Amino acid sequence: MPLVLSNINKSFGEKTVLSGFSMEAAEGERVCILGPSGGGKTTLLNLIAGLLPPDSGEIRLPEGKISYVFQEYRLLPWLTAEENIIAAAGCTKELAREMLAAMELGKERKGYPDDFSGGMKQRLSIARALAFDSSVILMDEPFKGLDPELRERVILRVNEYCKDRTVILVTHDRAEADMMKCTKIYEL
Amino acid sequence: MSADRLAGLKKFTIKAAVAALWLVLWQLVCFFVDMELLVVSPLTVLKRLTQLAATADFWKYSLGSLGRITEGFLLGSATGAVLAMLCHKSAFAREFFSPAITLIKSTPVASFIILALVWLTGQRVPVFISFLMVLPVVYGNVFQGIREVDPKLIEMAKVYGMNRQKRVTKIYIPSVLPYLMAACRTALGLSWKAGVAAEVIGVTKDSIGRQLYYSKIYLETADLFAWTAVVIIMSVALEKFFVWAMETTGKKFRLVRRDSNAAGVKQYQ
Repeated sequence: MPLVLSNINKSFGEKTVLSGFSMEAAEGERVCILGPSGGGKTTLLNLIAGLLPPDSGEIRLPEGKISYVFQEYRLLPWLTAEENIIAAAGCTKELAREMLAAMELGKERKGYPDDFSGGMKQRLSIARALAFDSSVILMDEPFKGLDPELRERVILRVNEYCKDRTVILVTHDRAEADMMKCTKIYEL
Repeated sequence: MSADRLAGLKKFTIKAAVAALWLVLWQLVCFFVDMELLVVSPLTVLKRLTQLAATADFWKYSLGSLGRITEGFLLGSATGAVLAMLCHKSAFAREFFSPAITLIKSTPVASFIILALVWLTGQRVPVFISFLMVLPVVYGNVFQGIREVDPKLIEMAKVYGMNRQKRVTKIYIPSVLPYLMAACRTALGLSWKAGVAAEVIGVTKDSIGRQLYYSKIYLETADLFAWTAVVIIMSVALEKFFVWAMETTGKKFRLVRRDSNAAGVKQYQ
């Protein structure tokens, strides 16, 4: 079943963020949302994640769960990197370690998020999303702050672990959409 | 010697020097006042304390007070925490309990002690008074702590389908713990002060308060100082034990970072 948004409207007070927005993503498809800051990209992901209700319009989601790479990481500071993944994704220790290794954080599995750089937190957030058994992954500027070489390697791993999942990628950078092999681009 | 040990030694030396300075000042005051009825010297207090500690009654009174005040503290903490959770969930509960909390906070402790003497048996009065002193402090802090839980973490938990138990143990309790710790540390001191005051006014059987009262009646200033020292020592020891217990539990159940204290403050090695 595809992910479908039809004629979505969303306002915050006087400010209209989304007006009649529609999109569709087939199962396993990669879709990119491009647009300037304040354009409603994060709001769109929050609507899909069920964190916000639309003012009007319809959202149809495929079967299964959703994982979300938040722009502000949203990690639990009292848990180690490994424990963060296990707590949220409910996965095994082995899978958590595999995802951390994929994000080049294998050596930092016992480290705490507050001691990590922004890029490390971002990768931990990605590892958590990948470890969660979801059919859809929402990614809000997931590669921001990564240096170009690392970003390339991380995207490669994300592609590998997202083979059968629907990915909605929010970014400013069209090159990221290409590297993530997005087949559709919506501009906000 | 490592830098850590050196820093620790320096800290200890400063503390010891400050303590010694205060003892010297106390001794000087004694010297100038020169009236044991008003002020006794530190040495006299130590001597009297040693004499008292050698008697079985000393331990009976001390442990009696410790038991009653700890009971009141634990009951007050538990009730305050549960009430805070309830009031966070229900606006009606918040409105309903708000005047009672304000009343407890504003009423002079002496009024409560006298009322409690009318309502309860002597042994229960210090428990009740400690309970009343602790309850609003813990309630206020825990309520604030729950309000301060990062809503973004709750949203994350919602997206990742974390169940209620997981949300409580992985997000709510670790977020509220520093507030609870701060409240308990303040409340412990208060419960000792108010609890002993209740023992003095109620002349509670087998209590430090009763001994303080007798010291006043018989003008035994050395006894008064010695029993006061006992209260201070027990209050500090209980606080240290409580902090240690909370830290150990917090680390064991992953409610705080393993390299932090229970207040969530990282301890740099």
